[in-house]
Amino acid sequence: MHLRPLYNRLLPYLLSAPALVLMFLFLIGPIMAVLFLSFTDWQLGETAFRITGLENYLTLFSDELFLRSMRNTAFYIVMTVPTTLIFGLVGAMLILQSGAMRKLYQTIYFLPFMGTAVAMLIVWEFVLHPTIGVWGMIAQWFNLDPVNLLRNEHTALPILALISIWQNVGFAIVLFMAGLSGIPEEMYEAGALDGADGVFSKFSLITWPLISHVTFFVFILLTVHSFQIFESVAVLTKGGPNDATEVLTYTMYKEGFDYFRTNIASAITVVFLTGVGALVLIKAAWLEKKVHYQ
Amino acid sequence: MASITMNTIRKSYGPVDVLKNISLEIKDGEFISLLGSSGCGKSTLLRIISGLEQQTSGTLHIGGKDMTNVPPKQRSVSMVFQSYALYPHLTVFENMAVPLIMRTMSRTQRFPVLGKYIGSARSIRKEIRAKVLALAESLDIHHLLDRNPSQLSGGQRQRVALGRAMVRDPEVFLMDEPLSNLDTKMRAHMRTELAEIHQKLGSTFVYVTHDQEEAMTMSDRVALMMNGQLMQVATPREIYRKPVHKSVAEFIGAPKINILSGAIVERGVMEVCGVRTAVPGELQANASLGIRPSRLQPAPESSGTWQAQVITVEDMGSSFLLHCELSDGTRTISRIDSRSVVPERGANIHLAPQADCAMFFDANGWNHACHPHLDSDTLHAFSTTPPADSNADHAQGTKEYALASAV
Repeated sequence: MHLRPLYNRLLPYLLSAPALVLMFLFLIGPIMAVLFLSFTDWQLGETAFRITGLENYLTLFSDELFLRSMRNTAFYIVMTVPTTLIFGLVGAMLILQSGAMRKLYQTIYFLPFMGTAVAMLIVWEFVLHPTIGVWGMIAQWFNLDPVNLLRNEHTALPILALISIWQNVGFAIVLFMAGLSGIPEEMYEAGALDGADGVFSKFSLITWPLISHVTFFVFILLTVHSFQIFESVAVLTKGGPNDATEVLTYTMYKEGFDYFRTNIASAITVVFLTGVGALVLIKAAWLEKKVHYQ
Repeated sequence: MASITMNTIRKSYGPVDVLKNISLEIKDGEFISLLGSSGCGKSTLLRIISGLEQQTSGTLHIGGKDMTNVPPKQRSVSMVFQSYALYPHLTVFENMAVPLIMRTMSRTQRFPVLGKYIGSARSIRKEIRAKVLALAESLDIHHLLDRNPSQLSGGQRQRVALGRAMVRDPEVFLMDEPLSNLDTKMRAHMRTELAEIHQKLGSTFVYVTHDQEEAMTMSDRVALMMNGQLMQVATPREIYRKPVHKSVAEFIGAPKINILSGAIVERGVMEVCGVRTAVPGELQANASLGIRPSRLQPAPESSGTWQAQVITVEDMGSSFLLHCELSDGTRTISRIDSRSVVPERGANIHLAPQADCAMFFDANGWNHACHPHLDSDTLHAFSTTPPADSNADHAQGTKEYALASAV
């Protein structure tokens, strides 16, 4: 007789249980484990460990290589995100004006984002090769010294940034195009009558404010994406030359899977997750409150 | 203040002609409505006046100046859009200030933060502020100035859109169905308000609508458009009483005019549903007779009445609508006073058309009483000339034919 209300009360939990279990197993569980491991001295293969508190973090923040990878990651983000954003927005505006060719351009720009990263990076390696690559040929034409851009301390990280921009600009274009086509034509017509008929006045009065939410979304997404840079470093530079392309995720990988220092790798992961988590929180808070005006 | 002169304006999109040789003169300070069903080209004409679109051929003058290739912002016109097109990210105050800021301040002065230190930016902003505040006060939206458009009701948005249009004192106001997003009550209210604003400002108003009630109640003249052509331009009174064409007669007036087809049995005599009527001698075969529902009333049987059966009776409160079927199957509508005796559904009655209010249309649909012997081109030119006085009776000298008793 009393079973029915109990069943009703339990039903929501039963229905959400599979998702909760999976989330716990593959998301929350591992994060908790990593967090815990970052406070221990456990290394892969060992049977015992002890709690060391903040020791791993202290080691990390006094390690020159880690600090270098932090700086490199930040520098990489600064190089890629604004450029991708600007090229994405300009590209989207141009494509929207292109009429019949619109779909073709959209597809062409989006292809790098859809392709397999490793395959494309191998192509890039060939393109950038100083003797047999396209870069070598161009350098020869202009009588330049065909330096190996990926083996040069000053050019390696900017080149990786360039590849990332090439790869992500199509993604930004698609999102911006969606945002731009959401602006009612009447806004521009009202603007034209109000006196905003130049390219800049139209952009500052109407376009830019009305796609602010898209811009912010793309900005966060690109930042998180840049934070996660790994494939290009692993395939093209392996962190070199002279640690010039050592980035957070690659350092984490080396610590965990080359040196088996799981505790240090865990601490780096926590630092990484904190950064990404902060961005996601900012996005959630800001996007809902400030940018969303309708 | 400015008059608007359009001369043989044509607009085509590829092979499709949206506007076909529109010639229209709008007087300075006039309130004219462009009335027509959707797709008739009325909005396109308004957009051509605003400069948002260019005519394919023909000329447009505003205040005597040729407007070909003049961009919208250099025309002294303001527009209120159907969707209001308020900037969603700006407050009501900022929305209203935009036209002034864009016109009176340089690009550097408009620059955020630093702009206010350039030249006389501060004093210009102060003047703009004063002007917007005064206008907001007069439109009774001063308490909404800090809100965003999304926080306003339909009527309030409408007022803000009006304010944005009024703030820079344009010579011509263009309105593209501005009341169609409001509820009935608010629409009636805003109608009165718009008419008052027009009287107060004395500017030229061009008002696009598909709602004949709006056009008839607010305008000095109504320009009725169909299929990209101007069918008739006349005062509301005239367009209702002397429509030049059957289609105009059918468009204007609710409920719709009764059109009864007749046969010319001999020269000057038409038979409509068994009743013979004297008509102008020039009327040929396939002519028809039009009679407004209010002029077709139940009456005692006589030789000049039609026998009819009541199909339905609609109670409209102040009146009743009587849907009847004549003996030859033609359906008619009569509007009868709520105080009169209302026949029951299914009753057999007689309907008498009020003699002096019948209209005769020839085989092509032209109103014979209004413009006998004119071909369609001449008619067109005639219909678009503005009256010297809005009350002038253009039908002077035209003949009205009384329905005669059976011959």
